[in-house]
Amino acid sequence: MLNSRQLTLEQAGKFFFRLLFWVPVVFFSLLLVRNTIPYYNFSQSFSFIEERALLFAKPVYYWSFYLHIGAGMFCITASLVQFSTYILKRRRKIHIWSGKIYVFVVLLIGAPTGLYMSFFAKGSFWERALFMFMAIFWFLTTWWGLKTIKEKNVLAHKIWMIRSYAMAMTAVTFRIYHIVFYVLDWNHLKNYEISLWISVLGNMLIAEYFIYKQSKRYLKTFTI
Amino acid sequence: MKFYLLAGGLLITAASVYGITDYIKTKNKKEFQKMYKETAVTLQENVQLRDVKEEDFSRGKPESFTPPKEETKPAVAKKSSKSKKKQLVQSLRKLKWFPCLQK
Repeated sequence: MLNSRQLTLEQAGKFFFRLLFWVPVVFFSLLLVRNTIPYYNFSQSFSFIEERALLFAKPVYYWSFYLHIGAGMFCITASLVQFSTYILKRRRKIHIWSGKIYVFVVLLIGAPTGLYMSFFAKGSFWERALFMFMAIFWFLTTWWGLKTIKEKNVLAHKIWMIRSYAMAMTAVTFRIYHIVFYVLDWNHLKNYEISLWISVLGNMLIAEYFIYKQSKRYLKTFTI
Repeated sequence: MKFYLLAGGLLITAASVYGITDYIKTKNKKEFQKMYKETAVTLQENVQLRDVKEEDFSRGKPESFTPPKEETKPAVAKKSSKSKKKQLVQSLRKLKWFPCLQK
């Protein structure tokens, strides 16, 4: 049995670690959104577009790209408020509406355009396969998240949405790893490939860790 | 919910089918094969001091240009000839309201 001082210390520690996790997440998410906005002047002078000039000549790829980055912006911004317990308990409508935006954007825009673009992604066959897996996994986890909440299964909804969010966040973590390896002076293509694998697998592992913790806490409530 | 499943499923299927056909069409293009290839950056041979030719002064050394110095005087604010107090006294004299100030 913990006394009140120990409890306060424990709570303060938890709050600190939450802050340590969420401050960089919010910062880098907003940075990604900010860096995406310039693409909407439809200029061809970005290195990403210049490198793929052949693909951007195709209208389907061209519009897929712009829809995909727009969807990414919306889904990352919408998902930032989804994990707040304050909003979930006191402003449930915000949670519901941003959730609807997230689901709509992922299922109808983000995942399909991502899947199409994955066929032409940079890297070897395995990197393309990874992009395809990401798009399908993102679609399925979001779909399962929606299905479970419709069935009023809140715990399963949380679990599937954590997995879906982990996939959405690969866009952010990939860039962080990419910058870190760039500073370490790694070869560009090697850096790209390794950053991609680490971001996808790393995010999945982190998501599973959070799910494990969530389930453990949930199971604790049944103990007498 | 059914709408999401139907529309999303349809879009995912369309994306994968169109992606495969489009990829098969473009994969044989030379431009596509070259697209992501990185050209290795080769370091140029070290330039040594003897490789750098000295400047040719056979036609005489160019005169170095030095801009002529302009004589500029430091700007000095003009002192007002009359102090403020004097100006005030004069203006009051003009008004002739204060007889004590009249000469």
